[in-house]
Amino acid sequence: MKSLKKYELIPLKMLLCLSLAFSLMSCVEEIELRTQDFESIIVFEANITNEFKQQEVFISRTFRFEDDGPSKETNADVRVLSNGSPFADFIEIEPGRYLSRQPFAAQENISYSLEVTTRDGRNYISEPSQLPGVAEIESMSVEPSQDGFGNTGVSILVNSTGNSAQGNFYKFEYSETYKIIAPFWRSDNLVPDSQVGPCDFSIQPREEEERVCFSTNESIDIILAETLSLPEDKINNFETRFIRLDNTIIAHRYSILLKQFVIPSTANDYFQKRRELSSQDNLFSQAQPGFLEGNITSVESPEEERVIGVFYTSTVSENRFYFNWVDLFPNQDPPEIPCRTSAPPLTNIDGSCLLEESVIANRVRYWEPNLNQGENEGPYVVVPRECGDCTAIGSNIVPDFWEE
Amino acid sequence: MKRLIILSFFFIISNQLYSQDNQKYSFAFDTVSLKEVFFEIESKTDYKIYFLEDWIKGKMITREFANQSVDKIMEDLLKGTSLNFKIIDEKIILTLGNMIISNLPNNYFSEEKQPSEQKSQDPIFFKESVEEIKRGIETVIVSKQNANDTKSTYKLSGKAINRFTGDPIPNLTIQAKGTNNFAITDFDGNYSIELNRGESIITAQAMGMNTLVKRIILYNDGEYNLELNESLESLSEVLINTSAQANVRNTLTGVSRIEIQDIKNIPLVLGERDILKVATTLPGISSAGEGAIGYNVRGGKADQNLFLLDGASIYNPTHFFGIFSAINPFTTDAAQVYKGSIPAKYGGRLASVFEISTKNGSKEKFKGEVSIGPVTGNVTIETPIVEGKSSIVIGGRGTYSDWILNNLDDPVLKNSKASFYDFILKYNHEIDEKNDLSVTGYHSSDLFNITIDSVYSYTNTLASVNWDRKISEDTRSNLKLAHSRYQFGIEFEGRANNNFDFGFDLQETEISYGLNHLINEKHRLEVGLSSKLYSINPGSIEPIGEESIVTPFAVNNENGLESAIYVSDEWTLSEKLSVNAGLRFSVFNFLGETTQRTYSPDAPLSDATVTGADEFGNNEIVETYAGPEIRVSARYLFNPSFSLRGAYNSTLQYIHTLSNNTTASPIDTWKLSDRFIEPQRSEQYSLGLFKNLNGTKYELSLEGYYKNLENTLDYKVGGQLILNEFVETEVLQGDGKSYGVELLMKKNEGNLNGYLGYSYSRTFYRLDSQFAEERVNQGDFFPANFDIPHELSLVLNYKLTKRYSFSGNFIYQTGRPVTFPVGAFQEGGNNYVLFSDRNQFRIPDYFRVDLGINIEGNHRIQKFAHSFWNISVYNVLGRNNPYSTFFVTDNGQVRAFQSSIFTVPIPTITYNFKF
Repeated sequence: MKSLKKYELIPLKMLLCLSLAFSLMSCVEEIELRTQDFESIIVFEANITNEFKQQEVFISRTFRFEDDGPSKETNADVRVLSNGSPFADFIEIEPGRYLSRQPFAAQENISYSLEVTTRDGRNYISEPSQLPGVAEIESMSVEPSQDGFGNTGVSILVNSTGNSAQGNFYKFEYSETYKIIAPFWRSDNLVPDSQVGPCDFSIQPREEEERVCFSTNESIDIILAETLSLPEDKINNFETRFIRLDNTIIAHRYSILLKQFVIPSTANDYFQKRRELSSQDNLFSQAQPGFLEGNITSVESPEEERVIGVFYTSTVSENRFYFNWVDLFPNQDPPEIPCRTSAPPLTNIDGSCLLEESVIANRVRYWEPNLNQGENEGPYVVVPRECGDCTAIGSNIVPDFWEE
Repeated sequence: MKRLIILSFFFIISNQLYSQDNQKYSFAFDTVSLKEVFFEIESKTDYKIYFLEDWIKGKMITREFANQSVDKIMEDLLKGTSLNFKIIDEKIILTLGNMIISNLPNNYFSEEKQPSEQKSQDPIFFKESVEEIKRGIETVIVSKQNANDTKSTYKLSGKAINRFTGDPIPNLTIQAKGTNNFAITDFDGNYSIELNRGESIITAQAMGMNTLVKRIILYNDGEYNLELNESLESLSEVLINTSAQANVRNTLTGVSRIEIQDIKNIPLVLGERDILKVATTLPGISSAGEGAIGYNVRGGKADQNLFLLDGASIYNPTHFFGIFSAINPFTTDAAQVYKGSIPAKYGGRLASVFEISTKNGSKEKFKGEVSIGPVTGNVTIETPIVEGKSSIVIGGRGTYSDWILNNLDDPVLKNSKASFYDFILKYNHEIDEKNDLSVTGYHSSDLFNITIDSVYSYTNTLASVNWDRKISEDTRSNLKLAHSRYQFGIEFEGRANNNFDFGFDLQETEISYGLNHLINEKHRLEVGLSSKLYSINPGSIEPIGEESIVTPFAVNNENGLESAIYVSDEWTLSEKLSVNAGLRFSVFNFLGETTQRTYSPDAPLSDATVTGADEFGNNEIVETYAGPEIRVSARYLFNPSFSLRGAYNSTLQYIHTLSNNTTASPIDTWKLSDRFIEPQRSEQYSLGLFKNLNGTKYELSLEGYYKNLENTLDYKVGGQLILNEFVETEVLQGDGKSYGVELLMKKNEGNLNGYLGYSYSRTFYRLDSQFAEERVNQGDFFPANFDIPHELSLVLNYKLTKRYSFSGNFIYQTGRPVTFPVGAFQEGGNNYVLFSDRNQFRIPDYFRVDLGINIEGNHRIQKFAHSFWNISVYNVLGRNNPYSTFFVTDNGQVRAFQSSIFTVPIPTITYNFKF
């Protein structure tokens, strides 16, 4: 019994006012979000994998748009059952983040389920979940491409092979790390020095590494694939990440650690719907929004209390992949962050120090002496900090895994 | 006028008569026109003959006269015609119908005249009062006076036809002045009215036609065909609905008729004359917004309307997301909308029937009409095939938007596609007096993309053959064969190896036969039967290109047979009370070949609760649903201008759209009722008061309704409906109720005319179940997506001169319900929205003003073409009416957006000419 219902078919996303000549007057505008009739609901995130590790469960609550982020559900009693019997206890290691006391790996043919008792004594249970099939990432590649809106960029593609005859559901997460090279880096910097003159500076070598840095982003989008509609359990050149050419993260060397989870159909269903409900709609027809049920329910009031989240087990395969801009586009300059040089006067009209203020506030970096000083200009040409100091947007510590 | 002069002349000289001479003459005529015969007589004798050419047109004479008196010759020549003659001195005066009497009755010059007391042998005299001559009332002498008249009233019957198109005019009201006698033409334009012997003034009125007033002189039962002019060349008033009298006299409630000719002065969006858009200005018919396809009639969903184009279903009568309708305005004659009482002959949809008819082509001459607007060009051609017998209408309309898009600099716009066209052809053949055949073919196509890697398209195709037969004077039949098809497709060509071509295909074929029989003056019976075969390909996917690894897949075809028999009687109990009682019995069979799952009985339908599956062979009956549908309405006439009407209507629907959008979309698939999806049912009670004021100058109607809905379809949140073989696991069935009051006030005449419609209506649905996952809003009633309590529309036209008129629309609606976020949550590092109960909030109210100027080309007679300009501004106030709000997660943040379709005033100029 082969079902195609999970086939992702209609990516009716659009990010611009309708691209049709006679509807140029139609528009999508952003409006302010205000919370009305706020309801506090518990949110679970629990993915037990076949990796041998301290497994993780996150528990939080819904929050108002006006708030910074979720309030964490602390002091909960979290347990994972195996075939209905207590199996692993979890301890809270930071607010809302619970780790299993002992590391373990989920085993095949065992039903796992989640049980939680919150500090106010309410109980929640999940439906049981078993490990789905296994699949290995075989290779990854990068290719110049275009997205659905015609923007040029690069696609990071993956090939995997699974063991299931019917096919599997796949969910991808990644962690991307990229090298940052400050385009207006100098080995020297301005240091306020009143001995040189009022509001003036001396030029001294920089103490820290500020030219080459690294930065890491975690994926947050829901990336799903399936092989049920395909003749074999093989993922072929599936795009896990698209990066536009004007994105500076690929300007030098870029690395992506791709984590591939084979997930059960309940989890796939849930994420598929979650993604659909949160993506931008076709201008003309809006998907009916509503509350998405997961597989976790309240023991005390299963009918009334709304609970968000899905508990599932999965198998993992991961792979790291690198590429350089020059290898892909040897004849094309990489994108740069926009930088403008300026030579502010040392003092303001009222006599206060002007440039010194920016230097102390760590907003600028020294670039070069201003040789042809114009009117209302000072003796030093400076650039915004992120142009001359990569630590403004990254870390100067080389990651352990990094390979050049 | 010449005739009037002759007649007046006759009265002046009539008292100078004396005996005729007895001279004999000889003539020989061989295929000579009567006119020439008269000239010959004039040249050979001293007589002068007075006549109107019209009376003797086309009469050929082959005859020899030897030595006969003029008296005898004339008698012979006029035998078999309606003409009488009188010889006075040397003048021969021909008259139409009446005998010339030498002496006037004594009371002739007194104003009192009581025709009913006239003895039948008395000759009838008539004169045209000065006032009536000024008004240009034409006198028609229908039958010759003969010596055996005995009755005081006679029957006048005939057919009303449109002089311009030759089409019969149904629903024409014919009233005899000063009496209570009136008649309404039937669908074929036939009428029959009792008139007093002698002179009567009749008034014939219908929408879109110039009112016709005739002075009828009737000496015997006679036939006279009324030819009415369309109010084409003058700026027509904005009139909607049936003929004015029908407002009060119709037995059915909740019926609106829209004549295409009447809507030409209504301001337009982007210059497209649009019969369905105009329908939404009438109370009880609305759409969920400017960009919503589909119409909601009295709380019904968009899939609950039956659109019939010349008898064949049209599944998506819209272009470009409902901004335009797919009904060609220039080939359309009228649309009749049944939103209350649905005649028993229609079935298959719950809420309404939109019966759209295409006009017949002119059987006399070649005609055309061209319209050039900012978005589309439209050409219509009518031509006779066999003159007087058959004709053809061809209409085509297309956009030039692709051309515009290709010429834009913006690369995204340049790669966009948005185009549509439609084409219609109607052939009409009058086989003989009793048999009429018409054939219609129609095709519409839309193509658009939203992202550059996917192209969406949809098409409607239909064909119908109608054979109307007059079996006897009282019985007519209609045999219809119709085929319709709706297809849509999505072609996706991205960079990965999952390029595909998705298609949906629905076909239905219907055969129906109906009889309409006038049993007697009190009963008109309609009976008939129909059968419709559905074949649906719910979705299939094919790979595009060699690299694509998409495996071809198709959800099993669905087949169904919907059959019905019906009977209805229009029963006139008395002049005041009439009843239309109808019963329809419909049966639906869901047919194999298919696989239907079985689920455990005490669990929600889901993949997890499957217990097995049953296989059904080709055309094997899987499931049968049947039920009676009762259609009863009654009218009580308090007086000729005031009536009360009530109706009870029940309907069944076996085909439904699958849509998890808040508004209908062109890529919603249609699904037949099967083992799990029961037919939708509806019951409607309605009551209305109808009043005409000041003749038919003002029409008022106030209608109320209450509707119960059962088994309405809804879907689990985020449910996957496309390419789902077991869609029952995503479908919810609930119930609903709607009620409302509709007020319509119309001013039909005068320089300022138009209408004001207001409706208060509420629609609620309920999705309840013992299982939490099948409940919405805790199983309570919630407002439907198109629940619009207050809706006000004012459509006005002001005629400044014969050539210039101004028009305006004022539209107000309560904002429709939406589901808003009541908070956010984090999952996988991303922020998402937590939604409220469904439809707990509303978008802001909708308000729009449109203004237009209409300029008719000047009326020089010899001009090749008649031109018409329309300059209109849609949304003059530039009000940003939100259409929807939505919430997305973008880079980890929840953002709220509001979309609107037309946010600025949109001026357009449309040029139209016909020849």
